[in-house]
Amino acid sequence: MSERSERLFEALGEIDEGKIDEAAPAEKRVVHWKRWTALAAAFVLVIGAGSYVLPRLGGNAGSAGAGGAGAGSDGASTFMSYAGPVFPLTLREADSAILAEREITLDFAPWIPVWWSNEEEANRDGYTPEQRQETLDMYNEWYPEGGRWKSSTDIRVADAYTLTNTSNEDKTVSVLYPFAGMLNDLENIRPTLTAGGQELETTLYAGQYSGGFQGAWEGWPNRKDNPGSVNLDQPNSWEDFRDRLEDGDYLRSALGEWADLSGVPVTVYQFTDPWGPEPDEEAGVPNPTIRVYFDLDYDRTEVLSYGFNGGSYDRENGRQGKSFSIPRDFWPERSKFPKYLIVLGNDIRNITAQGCVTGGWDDEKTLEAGVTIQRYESNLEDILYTVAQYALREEKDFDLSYGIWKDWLLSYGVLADDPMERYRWGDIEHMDVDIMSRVFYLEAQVTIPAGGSVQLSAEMTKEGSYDFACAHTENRGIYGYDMVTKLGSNLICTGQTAVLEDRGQIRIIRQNFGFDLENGVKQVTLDPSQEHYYLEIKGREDRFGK
Amino acid sequence: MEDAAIIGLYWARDEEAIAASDRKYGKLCRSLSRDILDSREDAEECVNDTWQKAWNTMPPQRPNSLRAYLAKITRNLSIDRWRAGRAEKRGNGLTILLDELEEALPAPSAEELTEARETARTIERWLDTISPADRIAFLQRYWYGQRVDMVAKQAGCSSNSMVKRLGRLRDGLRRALEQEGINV
Repeated sequence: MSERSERLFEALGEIDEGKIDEAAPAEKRVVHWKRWTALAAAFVLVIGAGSYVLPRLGGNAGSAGAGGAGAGSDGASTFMSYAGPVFPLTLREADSAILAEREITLDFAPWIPVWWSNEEEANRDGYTPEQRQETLDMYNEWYPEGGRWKSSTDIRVADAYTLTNTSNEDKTVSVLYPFAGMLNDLENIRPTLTAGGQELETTLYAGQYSGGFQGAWEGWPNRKDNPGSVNLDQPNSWEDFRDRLEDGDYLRSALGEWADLSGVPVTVYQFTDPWGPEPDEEAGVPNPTIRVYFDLDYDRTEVLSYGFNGGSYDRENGRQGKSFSIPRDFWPERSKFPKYLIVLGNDIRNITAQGCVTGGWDDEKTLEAGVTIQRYESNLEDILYTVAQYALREEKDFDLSYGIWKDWLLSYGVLADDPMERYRWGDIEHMDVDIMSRVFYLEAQVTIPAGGSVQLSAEMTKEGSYDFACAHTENRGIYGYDMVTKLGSNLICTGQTAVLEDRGQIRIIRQNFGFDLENGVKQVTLDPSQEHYYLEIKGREDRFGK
Repeated sequence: MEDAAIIGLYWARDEEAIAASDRKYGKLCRSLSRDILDSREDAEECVNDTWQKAWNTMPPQRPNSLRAYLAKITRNLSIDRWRAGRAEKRGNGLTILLDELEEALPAPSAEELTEARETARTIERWLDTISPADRIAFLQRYWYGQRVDMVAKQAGCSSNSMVKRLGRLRDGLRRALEQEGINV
């Protein structure tokens, strides 16, 4: 060692920041999930090596057990069904010249009871006159006063921002408005963005599942006693979202491209036109079934399936079976779609199809039945797209659903580095993607004049968080609504206020906003250093007494 | 929080800037400093000094990469601290790194070109000629001071293989410096 090597070491300190950035060591040992623009074409080889380069579930969004009244770190409850907080607006590119003032209004207008007559209840679409009369009679019996008062436990949220451009030039910025929810409820929860009173055109992005997985229910509700990944463990506190969103990776991946799987070769087996006898209980044929058997090397082959009802897995003997009931004329359309086996890695061998009297794998009685099997080479992207035409046919936004579906397969399903037990059998029609809590982002363009301001507002329906009534917890009948002040946001917010429109419908049980209904304090200034605000309420007992 | 927002906090003289920096880059800076100083306590002080220096230099600075900016401050402070302490106690961290870099030095030439900036430009040009994977490995070892096994892990190879790879890279750097007539 010499002074010269010391000088060389020091001279290295002068090199370009871009190279320093590029070489920055990974700060976390957990590999963060991200979308891939391309997958390794050598997927078969990777499978052969016994490990996958596909993505790993990032982070642990698990949490303590639900059902804790006021048990959160800031005194908020941990609800069994958590709707997620209201998030703050952010910008696609941070801009220190843009300042924001935020005013959020929590409006309990949906809680105002409305009279719902028995006639309205009976006049639903799709009822025949007989059914309508039957329904009306039933409701008249239940509600002899001719109807009943109903109200929602949703609230309306208006999350309003005054965006000020402090620079000397007009600025057009891309704003991103995050909101928590599930794909199957998207229509109800999707906010409307307006600027200067005009509705903005928006582009929707979806983040990945924001929860984790847990084992079977023994030991419930304490997750620590509940190892495994058989069940979904949806996020049930704002901290779960914080863990996901805080470092920006979640948003970056949400804005990224969906995976392109066209470089992954597969062998496809398509099953069409199954035939067999009608079920006949007395003849001992309760459920005519096609049973497909094949041999495989479990270490070198992964099999995805679509359209099968049952499976048999014999790793020791390198054997696997899949089965489906032979569809009957009056069965739903989906039961008649083609079935698929999608083979990654080494091909399967010795495939056979046999008719059986039931779907039970321990029942060996056979019958005369058959199915047309077509084998062909393809790639994972093409075959998944083909299957998605069936599996996602009812989704309103096919492209979004398809992208989320692929993410699910790659992140948690059999294509994942560490597949969840829940999906280990390779069935790809599991539609958990619909009910997995995630954060969506609406993107819009807003122009703010130099030295001027624009009023931007996100208005939405927000579900309450609650405990299941049957669980008889201390929080029975209590609904929670919460917000975060800066999580995931790069906006420089100079002030935040919250307004409560209680509409005379609620009693406050817990909160950290500082509202005081008795003394008319319905508008409060929020402390920017306080990351999370919550409001937990009960409906006033006298509100139905009309 | 994104870098631009953290930089905005520095410019707004909001002390949250330091907390945000520490949350986002504290681990990186501590690790970098500890690898140079071989002392957790000294590294902690260097990182605290890093936040102080960042506070004092932003504004007027508005770095393109906050990570690289903070890491550079930490690295320089750590080298200074190592120098200050070596008379009394020789730190293993930098000593080992410098021993390795010794191999990359060309034979002394008649001309003494010792400007660190010029040397850095030569190193930079050389870094542009090697593969991204090699560049990352080299800088993780000799800029961030990471242990060889950690560099190897991130590169997905064995430590032995990384030792050989770093040796080849040092040879390459030595040749590049010689060709440019650089005598450090």
